[in-house]
Amino acid sequence: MGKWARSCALCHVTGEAGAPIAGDSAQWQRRLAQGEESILQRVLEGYNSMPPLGYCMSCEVKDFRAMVGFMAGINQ
Amino acid sequence: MKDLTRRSFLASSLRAALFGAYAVNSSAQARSTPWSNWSGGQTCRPAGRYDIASEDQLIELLNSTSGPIRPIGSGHSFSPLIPTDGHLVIIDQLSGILDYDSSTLQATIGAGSRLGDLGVALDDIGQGMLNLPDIDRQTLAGATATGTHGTGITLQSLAGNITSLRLVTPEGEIRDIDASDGDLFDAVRVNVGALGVVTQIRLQNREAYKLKKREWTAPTEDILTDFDELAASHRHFEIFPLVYSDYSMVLSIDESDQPIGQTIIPAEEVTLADLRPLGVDATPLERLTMNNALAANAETSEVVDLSHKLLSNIRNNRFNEMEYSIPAEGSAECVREILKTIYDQAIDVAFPLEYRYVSPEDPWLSMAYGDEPHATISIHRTAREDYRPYFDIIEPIFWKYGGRPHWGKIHSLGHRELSQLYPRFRDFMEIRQSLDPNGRMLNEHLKNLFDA
Repeated sequence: MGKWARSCALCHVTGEAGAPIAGDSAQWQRRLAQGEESILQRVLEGYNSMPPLGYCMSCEVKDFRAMVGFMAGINQ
Repeated sequence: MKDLTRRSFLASSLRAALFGAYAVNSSAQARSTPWSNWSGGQTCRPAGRYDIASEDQLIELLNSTSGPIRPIGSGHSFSPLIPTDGHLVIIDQLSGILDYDSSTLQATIGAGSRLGDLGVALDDIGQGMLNLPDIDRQTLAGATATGTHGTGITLQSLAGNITSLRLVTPEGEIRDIDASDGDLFDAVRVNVGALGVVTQIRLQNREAYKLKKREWTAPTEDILTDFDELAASHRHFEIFPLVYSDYSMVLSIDESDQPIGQTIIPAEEVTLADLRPLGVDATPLERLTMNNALAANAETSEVVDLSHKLLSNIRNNRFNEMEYSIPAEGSAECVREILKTIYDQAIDVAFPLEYRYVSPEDPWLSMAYGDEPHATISIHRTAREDYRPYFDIIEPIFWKYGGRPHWGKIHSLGHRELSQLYPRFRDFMEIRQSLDPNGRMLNEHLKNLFDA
């Protein structure tokens, strides 16, 4: 959670710049429907306002998977 | 039996898809995850990343590893300060206000703190930073190490407001450095990440305050003619000269005790949004005509808010940037030459320039080092576009005016040119050599900068 709070949370709590809000399942389901690799590619390479790695310089792929799952509410 | 609805089936499938590969491939992927900066223009595949939580962990890392080490903030530098096949040291966890003094209005802050997080935290203790740069996602360590600055002829860069800092040297020694250390203090405040890893910084702040920002458009030539007077009469004053236009967006910011609020739509957003659709098909003259019409009709906006909310922003459109400082006197001519070059060569760019003054200051590698005010001029390219052709044409214009490059932004200079531009550059190189005799803090870019 510490990594998430220092990175993803910057935008995904408030929905800054159109970021899907953590816990808003409707917003996340639309993204998840595009597939896992699509989401991970966007995180690693950046997408729209989100920079590559989403401001988490220490995160590896496994961390990003967990963070997406947490925000989408599917790993509870 | 539990009902399996279409929705729950979909959710289960997505869960399986998302986490299915994790258990099998996590270790291999962990080693291969690439790093990239904010714009995506710089990438690398480091041997390791270390997310340190304490100075002890940092020292242990330095003592237990060999090879290059690069400290990383939020990755907002456009220049290749970070790329390495060695180790990245992430300082995000070294954050927050560690200590403060309400009488001197100073605060000691974890160097990994993001500027955007500090505004509220400092406001809670009655303090506000004297100035801020444009982007608020940067870390304090990264912003100061690169000489990042805001706007204001009386206001120094973030590094200029450092009263002391703690450096962990490449050899694992903790050094607390302040003005009593003389040359070392002037070298380390803007250090380009070449002297070690800064873990905490004490800043001179002021009492928390509100500002009033005003944005409007005006003929560029009128503003350039009166720029010195305008810069002197506002706490912050800058312009964004529009390309293919006779107009600039103008921004002034001054202290205010008015209620927080905004009056109308910011002119900057209206103008930028309207300029982009002009695209590549329009001729320079067509662009000029249309842009002038748009700019002439842009509205003025005024907003009052807490200082940290007005001085620094989240940038939603990623870009690459080149910025040089030149002596303020005569700098308007450099702006004119860049605008004319873009028009004459029909360079396809919609981003405005940015032109502002900064105060002289003491850190040796500051863009504004010395006794005279400097102007800084920036050019931008969207992250999707290749910035090199545009920047390659404009950069020699900066050189004509004696320009010093921003360390975190794109430039092509090496130690030979830099030592002519920064009077204490060779002294900095000597201190760097003494603190890092084995060159652990150097990547290829820094070797070129510091002749190492």
